[in-house]
Amino acid sequence: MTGFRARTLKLAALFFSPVFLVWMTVGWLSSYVVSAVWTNEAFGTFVGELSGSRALKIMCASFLVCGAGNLVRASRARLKTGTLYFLLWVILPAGLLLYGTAFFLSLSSRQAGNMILGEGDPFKPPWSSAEYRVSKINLGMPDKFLDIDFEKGSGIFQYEPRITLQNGLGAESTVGAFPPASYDGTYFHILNFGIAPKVTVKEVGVVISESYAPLRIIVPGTTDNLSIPTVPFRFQIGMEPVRIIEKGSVKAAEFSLHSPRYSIRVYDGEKIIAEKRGVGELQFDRFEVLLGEPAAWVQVEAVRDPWHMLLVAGLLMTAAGALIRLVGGVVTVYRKLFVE
Amino acid sequence: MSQFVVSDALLAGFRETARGGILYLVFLSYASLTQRKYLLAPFFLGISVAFLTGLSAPYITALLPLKGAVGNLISGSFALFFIFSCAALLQSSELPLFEPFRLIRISDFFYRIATLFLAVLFFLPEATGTGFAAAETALMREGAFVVYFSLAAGAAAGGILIFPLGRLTFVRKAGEVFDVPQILLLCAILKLFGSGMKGIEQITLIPSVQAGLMKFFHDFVHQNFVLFMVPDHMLLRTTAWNFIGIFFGANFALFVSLLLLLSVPLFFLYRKLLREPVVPAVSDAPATGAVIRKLRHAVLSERRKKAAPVIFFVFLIVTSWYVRGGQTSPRLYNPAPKPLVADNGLVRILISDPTMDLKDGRIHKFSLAHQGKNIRILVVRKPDSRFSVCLDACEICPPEGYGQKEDLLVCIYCNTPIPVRTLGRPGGCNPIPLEAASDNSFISIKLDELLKKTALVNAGKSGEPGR
Repeated sequence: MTGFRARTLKLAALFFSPVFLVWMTVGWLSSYVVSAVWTNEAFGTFVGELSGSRALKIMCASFLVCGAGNLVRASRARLKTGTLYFLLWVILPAGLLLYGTAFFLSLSSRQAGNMILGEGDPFKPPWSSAEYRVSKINLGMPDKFLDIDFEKGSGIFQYEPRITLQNGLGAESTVGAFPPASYDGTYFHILNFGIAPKVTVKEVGVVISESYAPLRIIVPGTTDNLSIPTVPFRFQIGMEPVRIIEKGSVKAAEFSLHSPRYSIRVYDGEKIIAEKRGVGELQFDRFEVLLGEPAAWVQVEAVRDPWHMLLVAGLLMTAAGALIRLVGGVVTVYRKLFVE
Repeated sequence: MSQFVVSDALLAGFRETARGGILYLVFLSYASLTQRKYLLAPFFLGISVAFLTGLSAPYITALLPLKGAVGNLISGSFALFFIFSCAALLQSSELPLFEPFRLIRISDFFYRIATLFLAVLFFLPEATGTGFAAAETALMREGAFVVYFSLAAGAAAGGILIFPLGRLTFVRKAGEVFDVPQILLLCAILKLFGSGMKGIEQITLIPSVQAGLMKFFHDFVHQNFVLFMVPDHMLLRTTAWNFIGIFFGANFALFVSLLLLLSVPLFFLYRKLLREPVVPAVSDAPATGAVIRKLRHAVLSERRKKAAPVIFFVFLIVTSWYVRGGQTSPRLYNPAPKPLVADNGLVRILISDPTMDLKDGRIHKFSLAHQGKNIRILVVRKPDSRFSVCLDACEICPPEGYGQKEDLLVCIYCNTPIPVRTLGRPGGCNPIPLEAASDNSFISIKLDELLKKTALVNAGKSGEPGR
């Protein structure tokens, strides 16, 4: 028993030694370099395999445990030099360890999905029992906007959309683009937004399709494609200016979000068979198509990541620790070179 | 016989001998001063094996697969030497890396085998690259004699220039400052500055190493954006993206990649130059102040000697890194598109005409006016000699297109670097690939394909991971 205990302690001492940590780092570097040279996508491969490969998870966990053991051992030695000095020293390695652990746990267990939603749409993340409904969408854009003003937004985001989420109990909360908002253990944020014109298609006078089509056409000059399952043609839709404003030499096109004018082209294969700019029905073949008042849509990403806050804390600690070390390092080098 | 063949083969021969000669002189001095001259035999055996294998590889069927792996072997061997040198530098920095192996008795035989292995690892990749490049040139120009004679003449010139340096006193005493870590670092440096991914054509490995490190840094930052749920740049205004783009910019990546590369050598220098030395005890009796000062001076002097080559290498890397970075960062090559027309549903691009050659490895842009829309196409010949034909736009950014910087295409909107060799992968910030056919004269793209893929621009629809 004593021999077994001694051997275990010896192994533990080796596992938690700085030398073993450095050897593991050398091993990681070597495997990364080999992967980078031969596959060109070493980081992507690593991230992709981390969620599936048990061997990789064990290696990562061993590396982190070894790092934690080393930190504890080094901390005990550092504590003898004084509490303040220890605290200033420990922030960087503890931050790195926290960040590395959260990075590993997050990649291993993260679940995410995104969906395009309109006002009133219900949704339920697959990992959650809670159901939500988008009670309101605010695109964050004025109804009328000029093409020349498009790049002159204010704040961090050009136009930050916001939605109001309602849970099953009727409680409402707001979600924007960044930072993500957390409700019931799930993070939500908006990835994209736009308008969805109501598209009505009639065949020989009978309505065969009527739905809102989410399109990416807000940026002036862009068009998006639309296919309707029961119609053997492809539609290319864009936004047209509602009026042109000329002041001196400046000319600008004004667009409207709530009452937009559209351009629509109908393709049979790659051949244009009909097109129209402005309001009203477009007739072609035996069909009629009408673009009506739009609704707003948002693409919402829902993420279940229990380690997100740990990741944020790790990053902040690492940044603070690096700054402290940088200042401390400069002072030490200055003292060594010029004072002593 | 063209001047091209002669000068290229001369340069390759000279390069190989110069690299080998410098390493030999340093190793000879080290072996002499440390009583390890028995290591010279495996060193020369390694050189012989490497060059016989490398130069004969193009003519031995079993070794022909090496051709496709030469670039990877060169990069990989540099990385291995650099990692070996880092491990040795750490050991030398009083971090007893090899402590767990102290109980293993290491015989001279082990050192001989290690020397043989390292010599083969050092010389084989470049020798193979030179061998294949020389064989191809000889085949194309139908003049094997002149090519191999030029190669030998270059090697002789290198030998004449390098080997007499061995008589100089400071070269003979190089072993005083070069220990194992410094010799391994010298091997890595010689590979960094004296190797190329393209055999004869390219001299230095620095662009490849820079690109690899920048790619790692870019991927790491992007993964963090995903984990921190920062929305992609469809939603961000240009100025915000310009700020975030600093992390993807060439200068930032250049600095961080340099820091990654130099972290261990700088740690070694810190330990050697700034750490208070531990004066070894000479006897059980307490040493007098004079003896301690004398010992301290000896330890410091030894440390400074061993640090000198590392300082020189750090200086060399920093200088060349920024000289290359400074040269390349303003030069984003973005040619004006040449107009194309569609004919019978087909767009055809001439591979070579008096004004351009698509096979030159540079980015070429074309534009097609179609029903009021201007569709831009880019064509690059990849290092594997295949053409990559893509739209000059991606699925994420506003379609401002790409410029070329060395072996990278760079998104003009968001600064994302895309290695040329990875072109053809869809999704993310990669240029949207097009299906195209090519013969000796033309690259042909179906108009349907062009229009279909144009719908993906700035739409983020393919759903495939990219970047």
